[in-house]
Amino acid sequence: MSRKKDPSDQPFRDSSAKVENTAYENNEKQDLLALKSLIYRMPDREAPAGLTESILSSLEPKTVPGWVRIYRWALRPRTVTFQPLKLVPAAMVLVLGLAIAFQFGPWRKDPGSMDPRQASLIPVTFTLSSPEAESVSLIGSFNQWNPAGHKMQQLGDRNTWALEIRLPEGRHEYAFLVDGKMVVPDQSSPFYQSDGFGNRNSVLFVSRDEPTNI
Amino acid sequence: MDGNDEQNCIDRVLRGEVNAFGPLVERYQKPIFNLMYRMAGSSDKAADLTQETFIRAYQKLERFHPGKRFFPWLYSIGLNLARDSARKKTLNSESASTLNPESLSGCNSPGEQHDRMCESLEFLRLEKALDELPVNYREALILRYHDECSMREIAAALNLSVSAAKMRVHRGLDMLREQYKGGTHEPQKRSF
Amino acid sequence: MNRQIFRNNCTLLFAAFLVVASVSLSYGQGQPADQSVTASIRAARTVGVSETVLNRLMSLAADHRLEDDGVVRLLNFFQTVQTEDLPIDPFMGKIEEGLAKQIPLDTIAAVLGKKLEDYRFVRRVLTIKTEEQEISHQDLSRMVGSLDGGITREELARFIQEASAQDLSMLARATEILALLKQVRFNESLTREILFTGLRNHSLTQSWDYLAKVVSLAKHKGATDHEIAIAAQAALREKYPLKEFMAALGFTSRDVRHGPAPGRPNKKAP
Repeated sequence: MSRKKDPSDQPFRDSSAKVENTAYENNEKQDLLALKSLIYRMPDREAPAGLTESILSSLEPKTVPGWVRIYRWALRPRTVTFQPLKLVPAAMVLVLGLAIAFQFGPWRKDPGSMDPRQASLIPVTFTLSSPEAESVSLIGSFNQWNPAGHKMQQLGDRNTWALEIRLPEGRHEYAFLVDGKMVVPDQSSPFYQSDGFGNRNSVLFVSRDEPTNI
Repeated sequence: MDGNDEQNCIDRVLRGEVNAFGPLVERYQKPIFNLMYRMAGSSDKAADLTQETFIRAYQKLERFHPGKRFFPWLYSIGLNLARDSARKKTLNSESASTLNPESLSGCNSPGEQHDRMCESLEFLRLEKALDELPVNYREALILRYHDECSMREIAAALNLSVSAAKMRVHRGLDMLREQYKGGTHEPQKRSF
Repeated sequence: MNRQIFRNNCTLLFAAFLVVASVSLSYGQGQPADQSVTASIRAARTVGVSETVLNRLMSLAADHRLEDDGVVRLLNFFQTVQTEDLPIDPFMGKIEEGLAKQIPLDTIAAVLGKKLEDYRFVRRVLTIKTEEQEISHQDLSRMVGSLDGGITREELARFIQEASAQDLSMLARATEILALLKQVRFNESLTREILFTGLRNHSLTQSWDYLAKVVSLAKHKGATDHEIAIAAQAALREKYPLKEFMAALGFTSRDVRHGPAPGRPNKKAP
């Protein structure tokens, strides 16, 4: 990929000469770049096996005074929780979808044995109405856009495809892949991001639903 | 695991769940162990210091500022601990002393073996050169270019201002280059 | 009519043949694929392309989602990304996204090239604005992402130039919100007033990530842009979190939970 000298590429035209002068071209800078690259690639030593268990076994449960927890709560950046506007029939479809997803989903686990990393994720249900589709996948930034990763389930009404997955808090981009080839954004999301390929990805904000939040 | 996951683990530890500390140990044991190895020069000592770092972080976890990144805070605890232990670092007996870089300067081995050996040799030279730098400069370079920390995170880890952290990185890189120039070796130049 | 359709189909088929032939020819040149892949991997390692990227590319190849020639081209691209100290993930994600959507490799490569130019552009704008100030990969990506959210390079450059850049994380957040509010057709000059207030007062903190979402809901409920802007600026001047702004708009938690998000957080989540 070569750098093009496109006039629109210049943020402020009168500053372009200054920008060009910053290009690293001399030997000294090449040496420094090589050193940075070498440090980056420097192999790490593996920590001894069993270190985590050894550390955890030597720890006692913490008892933190109530005022400390309140103080920390006050310091913590606040988050906001949103839930979808769903009409009653749609809510029923969702409940059904959740039931199916829970029944067949690969994430089904005994709550008591849940991995702590999993427990910090938030379940989110996606739905798409597409009666003529043969298959629908959910692809997104959260599954590295892998179409094989998240297949949606067709619900009993034969119109609706649904899937529940667990996501970390924050912003996620996603789209539905219908029949393995057609990219469909989520019409219920007001926010989008152009994917550069001529389609739009939908943007989803996930946050935790705690009474302290809102 | 992102910042929110970390915060969640910390909150749960503070509610009395010891096991919630596990993911934090899993995630950061390697960079902390490597820090300790650089400071102490032996695996056994590094393992002890790593364990002590996590235990100390656990003990003062309520002092960790919510919303900040955990790693720089942990790193700063580890660095202070290693300094406090005040043991003179001995020469790295597991790599540098058993394989003398200068003895392999010919790099005559064939094919891939040759490449691997040259690369290992280059890393040994780098370790040796880094070892010659003052600790704060060396760690600033490693945090910046190996662990990909921002200047603000480096400042937090090394207990410096951001401008001082920038200076450490900048000057550290110059010093490292001087080390290379001073020796018989220069870093391989790449065509960018 | 049928004849017309037949002629159109023939034209399409011929065009498809030309594309396939040209791609095949260009792939057929040069060294045998396996050798060039090995050489490219070695070259990529030499300039510091991380093992993570190499593994992800190789696993795409192993899954037959990427041909050897594609691996070589992308490895060369990542050498550029790495040597310019740009974040790897957005580019890697774009490749994976393109492959999932069955986009031809040439198009993916073109999109990557455009993205690279976007990164260079934003970095230049920031260099001019902040000189020595360090920006994290995450904040840089956020600013670049706003260009895909519907604002132009000129709009972004002007915004950054006029904004306070004391805190680049807040500035990155502001550029993202700038694009999102444009998507919900919020008044553009009021958007700038809100964001500049937040940046000047150093109050555009993490909770305000969800500002656009709240604005969208408030508009849906019938609040005017002007009312929303007054409430937002008042909260930002006082350095309040987003929650206070929502309260000023008369939201209850129930209102907010009725947002149009496609999913819903589980109340049982810890």
